[in-house]
Amino acid sequence: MLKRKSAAHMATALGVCVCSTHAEAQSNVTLYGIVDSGFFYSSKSIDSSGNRTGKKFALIDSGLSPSQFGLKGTEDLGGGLKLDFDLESGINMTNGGYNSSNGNFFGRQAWMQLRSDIGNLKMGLQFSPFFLTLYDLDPRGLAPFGTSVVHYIDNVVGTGLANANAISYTTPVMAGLQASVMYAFGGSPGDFQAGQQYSASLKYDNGSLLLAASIYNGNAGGTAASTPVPTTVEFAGRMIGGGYRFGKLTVKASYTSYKVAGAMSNNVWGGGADFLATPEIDVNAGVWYASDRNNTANHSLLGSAGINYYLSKATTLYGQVAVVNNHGAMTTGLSVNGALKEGAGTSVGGAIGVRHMF
Amino acid sequence: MNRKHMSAGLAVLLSLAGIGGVSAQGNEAVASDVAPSSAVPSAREARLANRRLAKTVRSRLAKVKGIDVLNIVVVAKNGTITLGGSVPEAGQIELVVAAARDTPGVEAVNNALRVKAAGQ
Repeated sequence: MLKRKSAAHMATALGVCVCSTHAEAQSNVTLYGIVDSGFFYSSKSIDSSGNRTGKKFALIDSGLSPSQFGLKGTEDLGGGLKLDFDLESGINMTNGGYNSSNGNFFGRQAWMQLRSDIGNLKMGLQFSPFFLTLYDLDPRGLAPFGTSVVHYIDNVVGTGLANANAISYTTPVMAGLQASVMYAFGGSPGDFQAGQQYSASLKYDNGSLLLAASIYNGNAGGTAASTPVPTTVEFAGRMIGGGYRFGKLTVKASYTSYKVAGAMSNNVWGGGADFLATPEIDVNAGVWYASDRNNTANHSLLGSAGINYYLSKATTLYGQVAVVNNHGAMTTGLSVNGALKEGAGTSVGGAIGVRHMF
Repeated sequence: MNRKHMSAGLAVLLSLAGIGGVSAQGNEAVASDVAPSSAVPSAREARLANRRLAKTVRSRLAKVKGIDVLNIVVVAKNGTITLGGSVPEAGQIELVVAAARDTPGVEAVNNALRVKAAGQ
């Protein structure tokens, strides 16, 4: 009787407790997104079977940033613990379809995370530490036009970009250092190996000097093999690089290796600079040399430059130009959207557009 | 590192105070002989001081919990800091502005930070 009573007391106390934290807890949901579209020109093009198709004028989606909309929220659970979630869809501004994602409705990000002083534990569809390191090391902000993401998607499509079935842990920043590890379950009954993926990264940043390295290993198959855009390309990836900030100028350099099963094994060396001339005008440029380790006759050189004019905090006008020179069987493109692959020889392209963030 | 900063800071202070002779630059010593009270830091010294202050602010920002320094651009000019570039979450902007304002040597902060998350 006494026990039952105390249990009842405890339940009441807990109830009060839960209620009071509820009253204190701040939770919110934000709708956010990017709409980005522009005019695109390339001097040459190839079709899906690799045949030359000449000049191209087009309206393209996502020249500077991937168009998207999403819902994100946070609840303060008390005791320094927070729950965050993010549901993000990649949209195509030219036809209203999906883009910059795995092709599903919330095909960019769909995760929840517990955040505390001892780190973040994230579950669901998410960017892998490997992809996030690519973002950190890109001198042009990883614009879909003329940056290292062209090589990334050309090599492994959406693998590690929208990583399904994943769980990750990211440490807090300690003395400038931050580490992140991710594991993705293949989920195939009776076959633990199929579709299994893992990734890790280590970053040091003291505000001026940035150093980062990351790895990715993924098997083909598993339950994520059914995403409309492939996200289980079997590959081993390695990346290392750094950067330095001198006032308005930031310089970055990186090396990335994509060892893709049954395809090219590409090494990509890249570097570039970003100069914020005024808080409203940013100019940047980058160059990437790629070479196939299996056959070094296959190589390419991609160079690009861009200028961003921040019309307001939300709206940016941009202009970008790129040139790529392909040798052998290499098909490095100018832009993820409009020219993911280009044929042998030199191709030149440009994009002028508007990005609005909300 | 700190000692280096301090001695550099001291050099700036001394040159500001017109005791330019310690900088071991002949022409400055002459200048301070001619007009000891009106000596101003040379353009080069001012530039170095600006760079040093921007670097101090950057390293301070990197140490504040909850600030992602990756895309923050810090420019200093005579004690005024201009913050450009971006942070991944809107909530970080006030942390960045506050940390910059609290840095010794900073007199004013212009905030031109935008919001852009990783992968955007």
